Amino acid sequence: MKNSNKSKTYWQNVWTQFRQKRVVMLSLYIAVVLFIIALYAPFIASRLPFIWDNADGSRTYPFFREFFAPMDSREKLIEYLFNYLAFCLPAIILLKLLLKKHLKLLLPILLLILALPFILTQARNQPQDYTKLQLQNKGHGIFAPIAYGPYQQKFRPKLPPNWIENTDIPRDGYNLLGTDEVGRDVLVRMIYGARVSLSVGFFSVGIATILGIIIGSLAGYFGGWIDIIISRVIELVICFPTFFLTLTIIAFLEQRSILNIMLVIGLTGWTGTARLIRGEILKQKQLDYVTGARALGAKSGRIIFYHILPNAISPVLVGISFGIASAILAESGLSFLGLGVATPTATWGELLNEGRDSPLTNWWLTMFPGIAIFIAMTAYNLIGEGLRDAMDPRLKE
Amino acid sequence: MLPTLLMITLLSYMMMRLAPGDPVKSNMLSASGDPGQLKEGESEAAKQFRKHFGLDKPWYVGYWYWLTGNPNIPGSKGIIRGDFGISITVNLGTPVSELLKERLPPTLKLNLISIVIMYLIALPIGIYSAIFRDSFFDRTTSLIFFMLYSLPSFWVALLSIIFISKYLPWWPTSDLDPIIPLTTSYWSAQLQTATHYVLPIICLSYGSFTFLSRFTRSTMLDVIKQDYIRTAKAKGLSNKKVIFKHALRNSVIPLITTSASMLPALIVGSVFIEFIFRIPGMGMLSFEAISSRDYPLLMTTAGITAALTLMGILLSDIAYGIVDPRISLDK
Amino acid sequence: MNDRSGCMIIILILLLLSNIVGFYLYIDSNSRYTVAVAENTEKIDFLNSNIENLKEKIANIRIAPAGTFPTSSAPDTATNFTQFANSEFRPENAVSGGVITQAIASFSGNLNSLVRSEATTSMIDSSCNDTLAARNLMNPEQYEPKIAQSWEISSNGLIYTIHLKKGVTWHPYTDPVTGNKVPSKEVTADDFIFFWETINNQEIPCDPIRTYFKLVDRIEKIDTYTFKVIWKEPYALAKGISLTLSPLPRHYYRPDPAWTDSEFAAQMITSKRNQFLIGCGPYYLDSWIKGESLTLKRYENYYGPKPYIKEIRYKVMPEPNIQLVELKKGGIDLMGLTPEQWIKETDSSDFKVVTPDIKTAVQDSLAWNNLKIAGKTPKDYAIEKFQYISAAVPWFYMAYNQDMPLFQDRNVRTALTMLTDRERIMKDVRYNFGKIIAGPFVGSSPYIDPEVKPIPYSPEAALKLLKESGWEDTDGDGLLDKDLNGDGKREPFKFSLMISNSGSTARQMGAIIQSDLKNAGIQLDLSPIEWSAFVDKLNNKAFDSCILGWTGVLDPDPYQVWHSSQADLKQSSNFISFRNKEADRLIDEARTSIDPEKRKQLLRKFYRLIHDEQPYTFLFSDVNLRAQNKKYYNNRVYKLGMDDNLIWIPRDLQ
Repeated sequence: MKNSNKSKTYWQNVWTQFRQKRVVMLSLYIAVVLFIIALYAPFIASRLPFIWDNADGSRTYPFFREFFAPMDSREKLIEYLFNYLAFCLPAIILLKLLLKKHLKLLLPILLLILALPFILTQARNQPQDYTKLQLQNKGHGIFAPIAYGPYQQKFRPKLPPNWIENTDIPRDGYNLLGTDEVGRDVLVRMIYGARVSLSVGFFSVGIATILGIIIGSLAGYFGGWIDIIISRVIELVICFPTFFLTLTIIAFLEQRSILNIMLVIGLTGWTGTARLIRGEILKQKQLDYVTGARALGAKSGRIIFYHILPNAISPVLVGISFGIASAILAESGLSFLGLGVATPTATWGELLNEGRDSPLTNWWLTMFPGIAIFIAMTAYNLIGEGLRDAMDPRLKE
Repeated sequence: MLPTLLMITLLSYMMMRLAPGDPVKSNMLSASGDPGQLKEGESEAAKQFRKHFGLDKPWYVGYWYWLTGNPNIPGSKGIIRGDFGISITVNLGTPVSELLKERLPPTLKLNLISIVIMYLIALPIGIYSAIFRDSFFDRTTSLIFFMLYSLPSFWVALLSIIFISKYLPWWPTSDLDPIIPLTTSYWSAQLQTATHYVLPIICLSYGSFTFLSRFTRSTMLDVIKQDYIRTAKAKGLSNKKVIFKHALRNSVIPLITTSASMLPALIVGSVFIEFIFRIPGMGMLSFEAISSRDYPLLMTTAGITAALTLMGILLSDIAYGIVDPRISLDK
Repeated sequence: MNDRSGCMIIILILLLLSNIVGFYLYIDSNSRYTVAVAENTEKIDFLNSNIENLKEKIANIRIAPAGTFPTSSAPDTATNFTQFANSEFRPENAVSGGVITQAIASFSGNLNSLVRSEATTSMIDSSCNDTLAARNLMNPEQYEPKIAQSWEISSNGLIYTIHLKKGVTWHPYTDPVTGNKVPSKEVTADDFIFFWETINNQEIPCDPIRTYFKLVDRIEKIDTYTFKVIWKEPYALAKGISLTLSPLPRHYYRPDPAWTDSEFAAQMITSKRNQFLIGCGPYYLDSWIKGESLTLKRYENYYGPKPYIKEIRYKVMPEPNIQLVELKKGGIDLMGLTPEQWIKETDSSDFKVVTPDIKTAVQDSLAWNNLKIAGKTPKDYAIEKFQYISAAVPWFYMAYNQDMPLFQDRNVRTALTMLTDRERIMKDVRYNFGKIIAGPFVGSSPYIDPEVKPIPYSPEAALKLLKESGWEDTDGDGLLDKDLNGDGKREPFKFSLMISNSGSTARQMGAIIQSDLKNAGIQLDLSPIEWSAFVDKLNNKAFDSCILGWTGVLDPDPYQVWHSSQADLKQSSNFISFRNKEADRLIDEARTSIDPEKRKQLLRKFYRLIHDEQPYTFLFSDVNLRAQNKKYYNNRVYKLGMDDNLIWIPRDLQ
C-alpha cells in the first residue's frame, strides 16, 4: 500500500512536470481531438440518414441500424470497437455524473447498454443511395454533415479540391480535399482512415509492449540460461533487417486485413521494450525492496508484476508514445509500397499510395494524407518527449 | 558473433524459401505493363533452371549450398570462401559481388554525405542546447527537430518533386549522375552534379537530426553533472573552458560510437528514398531482390545488414567499456 | 587521453569522412569527363559522315525502288524476293544521323533473349538481331525477306527450304570473358542449326521459345547458305515461326567446341556473355552504363538498307511521371504515355496530337515530309503525341478459377460479367482509351465474330441469372447464399480477387468491381500481392480470381490457354482450368488447318463459344499512346504500329 501511495505522488509529479510545457499539452490536445474524430467518424460522414421519412410516411433509422452492425466496412472489428466506444464513453461519463452515489450500478447498466444494440438492430444490406432518393422526392432524411461514406464511389475520379479554381470540371458535389482514384471523397476517407491509423498505432504498440515486457522480464528476472537464450534471440531479431522481415511476413499473409498488419508491425517491434525491461529489472533486482519481498516469500510473478514493473514502467511509457508514432509511419510506409491494408478500407497510407503514380496531377492525394500523418506523428512524438522530460530523474534535482 | 550471424542467415534463408513466391517464374515471366501481362506460351516449367540453382532441393540443402557452394554451378565456392553466389532473377547470371560493386557507390556516396551533414548540424545544436538547457533556443530547436522527425521522408520526397517540377522545373529530381557535356566548365559541372544530390540528401538526413541532437544533449548533460566538471568549475575555470576542454571531450566518445549504429544504414540505404528518386543503389537492389525472390542476392544484402548491425552493437559495447570501466567486456 | 587528443580525434574523423566524400566526387567527375570526351569525338565523326550519307542515298535508291509493294497474299511456293522487307516505306529525301533517346521502365541487364523473356531484352534484341523475314508493315499477312534470299514451301506445308543472303555479317566484338577482339563473321546456315541445337538442349531454360518449336521435327543444313525446317505435322503457325527464325552466333555463345552440352547450358545461364550481345541486325551494342543507360550504334556493315538514326540510347526510368518530366526537358525523345498523362498532363500547347492518316501518308510520304521541312508546320509545340494500335495488342481480363465449385456454374460467371461496369472502367480508369472486348481475340483480328457483342452492364439481369442458379439472400446478412457443396449449409457468395500490387490500374478496377458486386450482395476481397508470389499462386492454382492481361498476337493459337489438356498441368497458361470438349475440338482443328478461310471459320466459332462460356470477364484491349520529340520525320502509323527504323531527323535538328 505504501508503494502505491508513493507512486501516486510520483505520477502527480510527472503530471505537473508534463503540464508545464505548452507545446506538449497542445500535442496532447491534438491527440485527443484526433481520437474523437476517429470515434465519431460516422457522425461526421455517413451515407445513411439518421432519420428517414419515406414518401409513404413510414419512418426508419438507417444510420442506427447500421451503427452497431457495420455492413459497409471490411474491417468490422475496428468499426465495432470504435462505434461502441463512441457510444459508451459519453454513456459512462453521463452515468458517472448521474449515479454519483451508486457507482456499483454502473457496470450492469453499461452491460445492458452494450446488449441493447444487439436486441434493437438487425444487420441488413442497405445499398440504396438515400441522397439520390431525397433528390427524387421519394423521402426525406436527416443526414450527417457530410452525406456520403468512405466507400461510396459517388463522384468522378481524381477531382481536385473544390476551392481550386477549375471551372471546366463538371462536379456533382463539394469535395473539400478532392476525390481519389475511383471517386471516393478524400476528406471522408481521411476521417475514417484516422480509425485505422490510430488503431494500428495503439494495437501494434500494445502487442509489442506486452511481448517486450513478458520476454524482457523473464530474461531479467530469472537470469542464467534463460537470460542468455533470450538475449541471443533479441540480438537475432535486432540484427534481422526489418524491411526484409516485414516484407517476408507479408508475403505469408493470405489476407491483408488490419489485424495482420498490426501483428506484423507488433511482432517486429518488441525488442526495444524487452531490452529496456531486462536492463531495468537487472538493476532493480539488486535493490533492497526486491530482496525484502523475496525474503517474505513472494512468488516470482508477484515480484515482477507488483514490485519491479511499476518501477520500471516509465521508460516503457515513453517508448509506447514514440512507438505509436512509428507504427503509424510503418503502416503508411507499407501502404505506400502497396503492401498495406487492401481496399476498400481507408487508410492514410493507402491514399498516399494512390497519389504516388502521378504526384504532379493528383497532388491532393499526396498532400493531405501526408499532413494527417505528420500531425499525428508530431503529436505522439512530442507527447513521448514530454513524458521523457517529465520522468527524467535529472530534472528532480 | 559468428553463431548469431549463422543463425540469422539460416533463419532468413528458411523464411525466404518457405514464403510464397517463385524466383524461377518471376524470372521467366516479366511483369510488363500494368496490370501484369503474360505472354502466351511462357508458362512451361523450367525444371533445369531449378536444378541448376539447387531450387528443387529442400531449403536446408539450399542453405548448405549457399554456405559451401553449389556443386552444379562451376566456380561456386559458397559464402565461407567469400563467394556471394550468382544472382538468379534481378540480373540472371551476374555474380552478386558485381552487382554490389555497381550499386554500392551511389548509396555510399549519398549516405556518407548525409551522415556528415547530420553530424555537422546536429552536434553543435545538441551541445548548445545542453549548455543552455531549457532556453528558448533549446525548446525551439527541439520542437523543430521533432516536427522534422515526424515528417515521413517518402512524403517529403514526393512533395519536393511536386513543388520542384512546378516551380523550379530545371531542378533535377532524378538521375543521380547526369551526363554533362565537356563544354561546361569544371565548376559548373560540379554545381550541376551537386544539384542532383541536394534533394535525396535532405530527405535522408533531416529525420536523424532529432536523435543525434537529443543524444548529444543528454550525454552532455550527463557529463556536466559529473564530479570532475564540478571540481573544474570550483577550481575557477571559465565556463567556456570547462565545456570545451572537459565536457565535450568526454561526451564525444559515445557520440562517435552512435555512428557505428548508422553502419547498416550507410551500406543498405533507404529503400524509400532510392525508390522515389530513382537512385540505383543498395536499397533498390534489396527491394528488387525481395520482390523477385532472388535468394543469393537477398541473402547477401540481409547478411551484410545483419553483420553490420552486429558490428555496430559490438563497437558500441567496446566504446562503452572504454568510457565506463565498470562495464567489462567479458561480462 | 588528454584533451588535445580528444579534439584531434574529432578533427581526424571529420577529415577522413570529408576525404571519402571528396574521393567519390573525384571519381565521379572523372567518369563524366571520359563520357564527355567520347561524345565530342563522336560529333566530329558525325560531321565527317556527310559524304557517307550521300553514298548511302545512292545505295538506298538501288535497294528500294519506289513503287507499290506486292499485294498478293497467295501461298508462295517459290517466292524469290529481291526486295528487303518494308524498304518501300523508306522516305527518299531522308538523311542519316542523330540520336533517339528512349525511356525504359526497367532493365535487368541480361541481354540473352533466349533465357530471359523480359520486354526490354527482347526490344534490344530485335534492334540488334534480324530474322529470316518480316511481315510487311501494311500487309501483315505478307512475309518479306531479310536475312533470307528466298524460300520454298513444300506443297503439304511441312518443309521450308530457306536460302540465305550472302554477305550477312555478325557484329565484330570484344569477348567479355577472354577479352579477345573477334572480327565479324558471315551468317551461315550453321548459325540456324546452332539455334536449333540450343533450344533443344533441355538444360537451357528457354521454355517460352521452345514451346513454339514443339511441332518442328528438325532443322537440316543443306549447304552453307541453305537449310530446311521440317515440321512433324501441319500447323497453322508453321510459316510464321519458320520465317521469323533468327540465327544464334555459335562463335559467341559456344566458342569452345570441347564443352559438353551441360557445360554449355551452364554457360548460357550464367556466363558473362549474357551481359553483352552480338547480332546481325542494323544496330550493335556500343556501351552500357549499368543501371542507367544503354547505347546502340548503327552497324555500318549492315547488309540491308540502314536505318537513318545512328544511335539509340535507352535510359532506365521506371516512373512514368519522371519520364514525362524528362521528355518535356528534352532528356528523352520518346516514351509511352499512360491514359491519364495523355489526357491531363500533355494537353498544353507544348503538345500536338498527330493522327496521321495511314493511306495518304504512305502515298504522299514525300509531300508530307517536304511540308514539314519547309517549315509549314506550326512551331508552337515541342512534342507530338500518337495514338495507335500495335501488332501485339495487350488485353485484360478477370479470370475465374474453374476448379472452384463456385465458378463452375456458367450463370455465375455470366452474372459476374454483367455486374462489372466496364463502361465505367473505361471512362474512369482508362479515359476511354482502348476498347471493351467480348472474347479472346482483339484488335483487328479476323477471328473476331462480328456478331458477338460484349455483354452489357445490367445488375438486374445478373441477379435474375443468379436466382436461377439458386443464389439468394435468405438470412438477410446482405450477401447472397447458396448450398454449394450439397451439405445443407448455405454459403455466402464471397471470393477474393488477386491483383498485382505494383500498378494502379488493377487496383482501380478492383475497387470498382468490388463496389459493383457489393451492391448486388457479393463480397469481393482484394488481395494485392507482388508479382513473383502472384505467378506462384497462378501456377499452383491457389487463387479464386485475378486480373491479368495477355499480350495479343497477330496469329493466335488458343491451344496453350484454352485446351483442356493444359488444364491439368501444374504450370500452364490454362491456369483457370477451363475444360470444354467442343472448344478442344475447335482448337485442334484450327491448329492443323492451313487453309486460312477454314481456320477463320473455326476460330470464329471458338470465339463465340468462349464468349458464351465466359470463363473470363473480358475487360478491354489496350492502345499505344506515344509521345515523341517533334524533330523526327516520317512518323507513320502502319497496320503493325510504328517503326523506329524508318524515322529520320533533318540535318539542322540533329
